[in-house]
Amino acid sequence: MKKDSILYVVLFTFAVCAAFVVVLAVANEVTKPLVAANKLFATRSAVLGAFGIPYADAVDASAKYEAQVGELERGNSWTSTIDGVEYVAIESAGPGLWGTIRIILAASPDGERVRGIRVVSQNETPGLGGRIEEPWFPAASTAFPARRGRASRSSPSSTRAWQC
Amino acid sequence: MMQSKAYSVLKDNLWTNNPIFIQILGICSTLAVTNNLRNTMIMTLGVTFATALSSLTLSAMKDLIPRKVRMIIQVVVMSFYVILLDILLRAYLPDVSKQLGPYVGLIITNCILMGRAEAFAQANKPLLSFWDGLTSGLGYMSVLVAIAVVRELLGFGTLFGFRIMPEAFVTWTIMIMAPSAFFLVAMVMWWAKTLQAKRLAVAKEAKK
Repeated sequence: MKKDSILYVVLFTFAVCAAFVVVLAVANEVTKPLVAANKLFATRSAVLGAFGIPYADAVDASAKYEAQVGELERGNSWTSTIDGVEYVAIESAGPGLWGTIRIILAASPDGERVRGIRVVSQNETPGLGGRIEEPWFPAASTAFPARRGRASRSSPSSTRAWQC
Repeated sequence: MMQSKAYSVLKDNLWTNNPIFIQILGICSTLAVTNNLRNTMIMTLGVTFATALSSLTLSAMKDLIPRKVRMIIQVVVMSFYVILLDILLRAYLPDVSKQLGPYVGLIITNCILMGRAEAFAQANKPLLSFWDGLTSGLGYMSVLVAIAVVRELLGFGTLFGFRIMPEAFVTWTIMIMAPSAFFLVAMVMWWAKTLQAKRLAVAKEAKK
């Protein structure tokens, strides 16, 4: 078959695409349990971080989550009693510059005091907006009294607010 | 013969025909990721991996690829390696995957990959094309890492996240913004081209 004939071009292109897509699909299937476990750990560590419960590693985080955190609605809000005080945490999402920013915010049940904030997922520019995951950023939001169910922190250029 | 060709490819990609300061390829990612040394290392390793393997694959397939769909096949092969890298990072290095965000996917658009596929892999044997892709990635890495060292050190006072500068050091905010990468890339180009011109003049003088 001639290399420039339409049949060869179509068959070759189809075969190449199919072969590479099959390999990617297999790689995706094989790594699916690992990706799911990473996602679960990301959410659980964010919940623990928002409640201010320290953990050493993934195993420790899983044990502490099971022992100290209760789920109110599946995957969406949590509760934990720390030093005799009950706190609740909720997952919330809002628009960022490049995509949705998902956070977990823990506060007193009346929404008057923020316990902690952790970013679950974001697509912001690494080194710039992506730095919202660094410890100093959520740390600046804790201990702030919330106003009418909203926790906010100001910076010279902008104010970010999350519904609690 | 093969050895001297391999050395010549290495020298070309690292110095005389470096992708950043001579070919001016891959500048977008140079601006984007060089404010953090860790992200720079991972991004450049990703580019090196994708360039080397896509050059190897495309060179091995070159006699079968019809000219009409040459570039489509090149993009399919490059995308394959970049998506594979993304899948592996998400599974085995989730923190890194999270930090790099959209930049891993954007390796597909890095001009170095297409540049090496078109300029080298189309006309050379697979092993030499692999070497060319690998050394092009290393040439890209060497410049980006040098820029990232300056930017992270002056912008954050750290290297790989570890504090190097004293606590009293006032960080240079401009160094974590994209404009500083423009200045630094320009300075690297100026330095490299001046040095190359001087060496060329000395070599010409010696020949006389």
